[in-house]
Order: sequence, then C-alpha cells, then structure tokens
Amino acid sequence: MHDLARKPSATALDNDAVSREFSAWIARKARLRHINVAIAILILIGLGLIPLISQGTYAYARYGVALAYVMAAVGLNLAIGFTGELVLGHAVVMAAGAYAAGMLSAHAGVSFPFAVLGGVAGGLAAGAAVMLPGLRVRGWYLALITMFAVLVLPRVVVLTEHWTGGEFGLTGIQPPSFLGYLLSDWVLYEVTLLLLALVGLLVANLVRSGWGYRLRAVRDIGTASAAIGLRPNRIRFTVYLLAAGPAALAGALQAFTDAFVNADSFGISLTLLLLTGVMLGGAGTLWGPIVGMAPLIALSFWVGPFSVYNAVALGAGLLISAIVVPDGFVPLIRRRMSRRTPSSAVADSMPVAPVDDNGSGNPSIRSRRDLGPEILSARGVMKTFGGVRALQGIDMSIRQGELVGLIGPNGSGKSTFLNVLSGFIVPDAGDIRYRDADVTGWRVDQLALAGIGRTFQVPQLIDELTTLENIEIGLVGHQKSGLVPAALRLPRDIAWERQRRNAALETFRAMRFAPETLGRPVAELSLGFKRIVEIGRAAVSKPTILLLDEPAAGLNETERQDLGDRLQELAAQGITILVVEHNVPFVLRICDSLMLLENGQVTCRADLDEALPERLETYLRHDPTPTTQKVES
Amino acid sequence: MSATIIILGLITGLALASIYVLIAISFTLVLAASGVFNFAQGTIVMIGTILALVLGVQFGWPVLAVAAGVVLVGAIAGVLTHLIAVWPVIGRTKSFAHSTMLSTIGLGIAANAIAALLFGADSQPVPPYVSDSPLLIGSIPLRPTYLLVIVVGIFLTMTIEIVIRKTVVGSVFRITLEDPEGAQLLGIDTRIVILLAFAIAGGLSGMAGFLVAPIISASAFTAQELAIYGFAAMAIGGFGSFAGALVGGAIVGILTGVLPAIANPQVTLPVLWIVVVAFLVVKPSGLYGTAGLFGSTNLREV
Repeated sequence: MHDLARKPSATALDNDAVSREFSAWIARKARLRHINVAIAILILIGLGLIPLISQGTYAYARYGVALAYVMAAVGLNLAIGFTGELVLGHAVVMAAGAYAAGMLSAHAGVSFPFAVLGGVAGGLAAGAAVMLPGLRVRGWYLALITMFAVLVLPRVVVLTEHWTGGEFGLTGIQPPSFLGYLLSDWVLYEVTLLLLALVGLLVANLVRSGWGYRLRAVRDIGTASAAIGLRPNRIRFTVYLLAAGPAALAGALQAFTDAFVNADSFGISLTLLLLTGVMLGGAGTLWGPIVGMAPLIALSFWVGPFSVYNAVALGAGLLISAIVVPDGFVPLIRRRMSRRTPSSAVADSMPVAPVDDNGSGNPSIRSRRDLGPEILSARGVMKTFGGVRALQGIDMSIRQGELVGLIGPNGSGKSTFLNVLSGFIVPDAGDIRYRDADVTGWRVDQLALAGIGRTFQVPQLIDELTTLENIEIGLVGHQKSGLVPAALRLPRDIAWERQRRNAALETFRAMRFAPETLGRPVAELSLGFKRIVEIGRAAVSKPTILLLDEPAAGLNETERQDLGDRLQELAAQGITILVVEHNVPFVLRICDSLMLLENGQVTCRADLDEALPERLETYLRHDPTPTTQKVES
Repeated sequence: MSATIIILGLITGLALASIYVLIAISFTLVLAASGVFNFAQGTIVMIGTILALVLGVQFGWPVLAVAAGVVLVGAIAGVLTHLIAVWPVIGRTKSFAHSTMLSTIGLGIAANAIAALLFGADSQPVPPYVSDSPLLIGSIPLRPTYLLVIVVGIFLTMTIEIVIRKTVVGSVFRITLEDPEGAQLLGIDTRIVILLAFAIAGGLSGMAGFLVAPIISASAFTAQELAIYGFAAMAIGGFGSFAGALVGGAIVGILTGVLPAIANPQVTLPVLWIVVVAFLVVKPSGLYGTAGLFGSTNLREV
C-alpha cells in the first residue's frame, strides 16, 4: 500500500469520502432491512390473527394450503430468480414431500414431526432427480425436461397405488400431534405460518451472505464465474436442493392440512401458479414470491380452486407479466420509490477519481523494481478448432512482477492463448507451468484459487449489485463459507462478510474509484468503468498473475490513462500482469515487455527498455489502425 | 400372438412417430429463425385435433377441405403467437430467450384453458379419414388410418427437409438467426422471415393435430403431452438436425406405441422420461445434434 501513498493529502481526502460513502451505503441497506422486517412482522401478525375472524376446518385447510404455496414459491425463487435456473418441477417436489409425509403417517404411523422430516427428505430426493439434467442442459431444455416430470408424476402415483392410493388419493393420514397433544386446525395453521416465516428468514439471510453472491454469479456470469474460483455446476446442484427444501416442507405440511394427498393437486396448474407468482412479483427479489402469489391466491379463493378460470388467469398473468413487467412488480415499486429520493447524479464519463499524475512515460523496469524468477511459462502449446490451427506451438515465459503486453493481429490466437492460460481451453499438446508446477489440464477454478485471475473482453459483472459488492465477489470463491452459517447468520459468516468488505474497500480505494460510485449498481455505469471494476474484482484476492483481455477497448483517452496508471500500481505491488491489447500507445506506455503473437506462435519477445527488434518495430509501425481495431468479439 | 401385438404396436408407434417428428420440426423451424422456443406449439396441435372434429364431423366438410382449413388456422395461430407473445418482448428485456419462454408458456396455458371452456372437458372420438376396415398383411391387421399418418408425415418431413437444404430458404433462416443486421443489409426482411417461420410451423403443427385426431381423439387437454413428446423426440435425436428429429421421433413413437401393448400403459411416460433424462445427462447434444442450431453458435448453451 505504501507505493500508492504518493500523494498522501489527496489520498487521505479521498479515503474520507470513501468511508463516508461506505457508511451511508451501509446505513441505507440497514434502513431498508429494518423496513422489510417491520413489514414482515406486520404481515405475520395480520395472518396470525386470521383464526380470530374466520374459523372452520375447510377455511383453515385453504389458508394452510395457500401458505404452503407461498413457501414453495419462496423456494422456487431461489432457483429461478436468484440463480436464473428455469426449473419447472416444483410441483413434483411438493408432491413427493406430501406423499412421503402422508405415507409415513398413514402406513407406518410415524408421528407428525418425523413424518414432516421424512417428507422433506423425500421432496429433496425427488428435487435432485428432477433437476439433475440441469447440470448438463440450460434454458428451455431445462424448463421442458423438468415440466416433463410434472406430467410423469400422476402415472408414477397410479403405478405405485398400493402405497399412494393411486387415482383415489392417499387417505388415513393421522391428525397431527406433538408430544402427545393433538394439534387442532388453527394450531397447525399457526405452525405453518411460523415455518413460512422461518423459511423466509433463512432465505433472506442466505441471499445477503456470500452464497447470495454465488447464486447471482452463476446467473449473471455463468461459466465465466469459474474465473473467480467458483464451481458453477456444484453451486447449481446445491441450489436445486436449496430450492427444493421449502417446496418439500410445504408439501409435507399440506398433506397434514388436507389429511389427504392426490396427484391432481400437483399438476401443471400448480407449476404454473408458482411460476407466475414468482415472475409476477419479481424473480430474484425477496418479496417477489409473496407479492406475486397474493393476487393469484386471492383469485383462486374467489373463483374456487378447481375453476378453469384459474388457468386462464394464470396463463394471461404470466403472458402479461412477461410482456409488461418483465422484471416483476417489486422492482417496479422499488424504482418508483427510489425515484422520489434525489439520486446523487454522477457524470458517467468521470467515474474514476481524478489523479493529477504527471504522466510519467515508461520508466525502465530495472529502475523501477526487480523482476523475480519465471513464474508462468508455456512450452509447445497447440490448439486446433476443427480445421483451424489457432495455436501452433507457443513457447513463452513471464517473470515474477513483470507487466507484459501480448499483441498481434486479429485471429493470431491471443484470446485463445489467454483461455488456455486460465484453463477455459485445454491445449491439444504442450504444457503450462506455473510456480514450478505443471498446471496443464487444471480446472479454471483451481487456477483461479491458485492465484491466476483474469478479466473478459465483455465485462462479466452482476449488474444489480453495487461497485463495492462486485469487487467483494472476487473473494467469495476463496472463502469456504458453509450453507448453515450463512442461513443462520452465525458469527463465523459475519466475520467472513467483514473480511470481504474490508478487502473490497481497500481495493476500491487503491483503484481510486470515485467515492459516489461505491453504492451504485454497476448497471448504471459506463462500459469503461465496468472493465476497471472487473479488474478490481480480480485484484481483490491478491492474485499472483492477472490476465487481462483487452481492458482498454472502448475507453476514452482519460479512462485509458487512468487504467494504465492503475495497472502500473498493481504491478508495483508485485502482481504479474499479462495484458492482451490492440492499442499500441497504451502498451508502449505501461508495459515492461512485449510479446508478439502471429499465426499462433510467439514470433518476438522484447523488453521495452531496450532497442526493439526489427520484427516488432515493423509490426508496431504497420499495424494499420491500432486504435480502431477494438471490435473483436 | 405376442409377435402380432408387438408389430401392431410398432405400426402405432410409427404413426405416432410421424406426428412427433412434425411437432419437433415445428419447434426447430421457429427456433431456427427467431431464437424462440414456442411452448404454445402444443396448443396449436391440440386445436388441430378439435378442428378435425368440428369441421369434419359437425360441419361435415370434405376431408381435404378440413385439412386445408386446419393448416390455415394453424398458420394464423402461429402468426398470432408471434404477434402476442414474441413481438412485444423484442428489445425490452435482458434475456429475450427467457422472456419469450415465459410469454409463450403463458399464452399456451391461457389458450388451452379457453379451449377447454369452449370445447368442454370431455374428449370426443374423431372418425378415421380413410376406410376403417383393416388391411390384412399375412395375419396382421393394419389400420389404414395409421398408414395414412405415416405416409403423410414422411412426405411432409421430406418436403420441409428438401426445401430447407436445397433452396435458399434454409440460408435465409440461418442468417436471420445468426446475424439479423447482416441479413437486413442483404435485403432480407427479417420480420417477414420470422413471421413466415411461425406460420409454417403453425401450419405443420395444425396438420399434426389433424392427422393424430383419429388416433387420440379430440380433446382440449392434450397440448402439453404432445409438446412434451415432440420435445422428447428432439432431445433424443439431437436438436437442429432433421435426421435427429426423424430418429428421435421414431424412438419416442415406437416406445409409446409398443410399451402400452406389452406392459401397463401407465409405464410409458415414466420410461420415456427416464430415457430422455439419461440422454440429456450422458449426451446433451442428442444422437445427431450439432453444437449449435443448423451449425449456428448462438444457441450453444442449450
């Protein structure tokens, strides 16, 4: 850090502003949370008082089932909303929960609490089976294969009618009792309500923890999230189980509420009810499933649960929500409310705090710092795509602390080589050595955790999160935070969070972002700014090597200048940097050495403080339009 | 005896296969041109079965007129799907694929429910379009209806395949999906191409409904199941490949034709589900699937 404190006064001032902005942002979040908790308590009290005004077994059964539906929707929202996995099999999960709990009670005489636990286990197992293909297929394939399971369910129930009661439904479920006391209808209703509140609390804790970042990273960053040390498929499968949990519990409770289980209750219409509820309310928001389910449940109370008008309304509701309010009602309401409070306007062109650096040219490497031994090297790396020989035997090495520019014409294999180094592409031949170990064939996340960070040509950020949070995400993969501490918000998890936040703040300061950008969603910021945030995310975990893919593309002159300064500061901290870049003045200004890639081979390698070889000179002079060749996707 | 049952099951299976192939190709056509997976496609097939009854039996139209009417209505339904569920979404959301999936599911479900309101909840048998007296081949009685479905199905599939492969239409579809702006620069009106794809797919789906009506009866509750069978054919065969659609359709058709003949009919759907899941887990691209659609890379992540 001492390297950065060249202008102590200015930095201190900036730091003050950053701290102020940070406290303000934390206060905003806390206020929002308090409002949410207050609303939740009010709703809970209101719903808890229902038994005072409306009684009767039938009424309780309907209210209980409505609560179960909301609970299942809260689970579904974890998968669809927060993780972006369009799974439509939650009706099967609920059914499995209901049948497992019901059969345990009816056939084996298992007591209420254990039958419910058994139901949850059954639901989780069914959820794992139904959503398993999600590890291999995405998008509508996943939607269809999970919806397929919903159509299969009634057949399986008939085939196993000896246990499930088949078409006639499962009867004989014992009235719920606990410690010898029979739970009356209203008690079961209150228990369901409390469990719903508990599920809501756990989910709320989870999505604000590091796991919340993991889920959103899978949704918005996808396979690229491996580059920050995450394992997307492992997270996906965890989410399937997490999302199935509430639905399984809801199903088990519904079995006791109805004292009857029938496959008809868990068909396409239930799938659609849950899906429409989540989408209408706002997928990926905490209140979404509740706001969205409320009108749908109200409608079903009005026209009756078996009316065909339910299906018309659900279908039309889903269609309209997809067309009119694609993000759902909760984000709409939130935008309305935030519009009233004056937002601190930031000029997008100047998101980075100005630093009056007297643009020092390219200080010679040896005058600036000493380079260490070789840290990353490639020998004879080959890669062929179909008939295209993208890499034809690359040999190169990078020394500890070096800032290397990788240049070359379009199609020379620069991005492919970067993908090989970061593990996204496994080379056909040759090997990669990193810190005296052969890392050829290592997974992307292994390399990331070992200290090889990277950025992408198109910045891969989570748009809805703020600048600081996006930087924080760079540390999530390095923390082994468990699900239970996160859901219960144990001190351990709070400590993880504090550690992340402090490191992110430090990086935020080091990258000299304008303080007012700290608490703003990155969606509102310019492309150039997002690139620098992505570099911050890669830098926050103190990587050994940073691989940057065209960081200066699309930046204006000032932004490029700032970016160059930040990279040199990172290099001064001892981080080795390999930067792929077309902009010749930019690489000449910041780099210690250049590597020229032509036709899949390194044809030239030179330190910039020495005279440049002929070949490199020629390339640099003849590169037709070095500043406009940015559009390469 | 049991051999006869299996052969009869095979014939039924091949007839169903032709239907599933038509549905699978409808899905593919729309996806190829617009990138939309049209969940409402099953609804158009269902409407086809109902129109076969209404126009053919209640109105007494001649068979060919019914077929033409069903194709026309299917094409219109396809275009309406685009205008209602796809066109309003364009340019308004972060994820076009995600939004159109939801809007077409919504449209399909609403349309299914309205069909149930209008047509009633019961399924009604549709008389066969050709003679119902079985042709005896050896000792095996073959129902001409099934043969008709197989012949027409194969004919339609081949026609589409040849049109796509041998004419400029295929290239136009491909460039419309891969590079809409480039297509416009070439003077292609991409809106027309996309509408055309929805219309052709709608017509094919309507035809599939018309053909299958005598086998499965007219009912307002068949849409999802038919769409799922079409999807299963696509998933097994491999997405975006005509050979895949044929082979996948044949596998799904034969499974659904033979299994009920030799085992408890309730087993069919669960077995098919397990087969499709196994395919997706082991080989997500299916038997003949390319990484992308018609060689495109836009949909690599399916």
